[in-house]
Amino acid sequence: MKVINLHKDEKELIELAVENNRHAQHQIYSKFAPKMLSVCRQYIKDVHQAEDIMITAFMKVFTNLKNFEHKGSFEGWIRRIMVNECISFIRVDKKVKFIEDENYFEERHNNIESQFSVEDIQFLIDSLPDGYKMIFNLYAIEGFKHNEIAGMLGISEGTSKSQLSHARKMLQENVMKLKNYENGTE
Amino acid sequence: MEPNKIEKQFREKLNAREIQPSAQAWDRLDAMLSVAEEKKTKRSFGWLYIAASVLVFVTLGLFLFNQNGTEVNPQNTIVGTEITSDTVQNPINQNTAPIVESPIQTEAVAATEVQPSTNHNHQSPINNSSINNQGVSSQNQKTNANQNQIIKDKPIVFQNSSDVAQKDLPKIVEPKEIVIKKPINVKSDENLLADLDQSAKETTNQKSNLKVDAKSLLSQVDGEVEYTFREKMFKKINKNYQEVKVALANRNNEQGQ
Repeated sequence: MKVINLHKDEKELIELAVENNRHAQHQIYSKFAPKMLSVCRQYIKDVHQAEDIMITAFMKVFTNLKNFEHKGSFEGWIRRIMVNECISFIRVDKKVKFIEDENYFEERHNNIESQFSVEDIQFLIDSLPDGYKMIFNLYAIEGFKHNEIAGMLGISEGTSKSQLSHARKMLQENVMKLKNYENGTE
Repeated sequence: MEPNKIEKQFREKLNAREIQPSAQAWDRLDAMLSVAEEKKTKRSFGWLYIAASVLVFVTLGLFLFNQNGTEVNPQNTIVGTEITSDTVQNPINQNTAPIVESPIQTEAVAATEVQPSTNHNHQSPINNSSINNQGVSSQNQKTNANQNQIIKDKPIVFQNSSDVAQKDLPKIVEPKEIVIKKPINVKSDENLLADLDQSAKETTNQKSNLKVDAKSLLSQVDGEVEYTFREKMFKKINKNYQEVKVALANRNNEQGQ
């Protein structure tokens, strides 16, 4: 019963927000904004810039709210808008271009068992170039497949794979560096 | 290429993370939303304005077109009057028909004058007359009634010719008859003139009908005349009043002295 009520509440909230009910819009915003800012922060290092993008993405959420068919999860729908906004920002404002590169290598699986804090994880991701970061985020964190990423970024599937392999290699190197740094300090 | 354990850890930890946005973030979004709403309302108003202006233009256009139509209609009525004048001409044609008949008859008479001797020639004038009749009929495009009249005239010609064949003297009578007919023709001319006069009168009457505006103009002029008369009267009254005033003032002055 509780779940149904919650769902009903969300549906009612959305319906109210479609009618430009500011209170409903604020409720939706305050419910999802912290998570969405975290999503934006994955792609954009500067928190203030990430917030700007989150706000513009929320604008898109509210202006296109009437198009939301209550099929998937509302959070997933908002998240998709956030990710698209971040990608377009990186591609347009940062002028990130992907060089078509079909060469990728099978990486060795060195399963590092060590646990990292979220700050460390973010630090490791931030250390990647924008292009690598984007594809790593889309593949490893968002769970998109290579053909989906290729469609989203307008690149070939091979490029997506090669970019991911480069990103993973760099990330592993950075993880090792971080571990060595932590070990060195200990 | 499967996401390895580190990546799984990354995903779980990143998805669990929440970053509180700054307090100004909502205010900015709120402002953006209200701006968008204003734009929407403005847009809707703009559409309303556009729709209203289009409506106004359409109605104006329709009104002007209708006016043009009314301007065209009087022309049509004038065309109608022209048609009536044609109808006036038609009676003239009807009147001319008897005139045309008389020369045929004269011709026939002329033929009879020429053909006193033989019976062979009797047929030819008849034929001539009939041909003439046909020609006349074709020329004037007479109505069937007129043709019937001509056809009715034919037997008269026959009788005349037969009479002429039998007797020589009746020839003189026949021209007399023609002479009698001629005044009838003159009468027909008179009728023609009368008809013309009537038609002219009718046209003048029609003009007089159109002079309704002129009457109104006259009434307007009369009104103006009345206005000038009133002005004159007022001036006169004013003059007299001034005179009286001066006279009274003088008297008062005299009394005062």
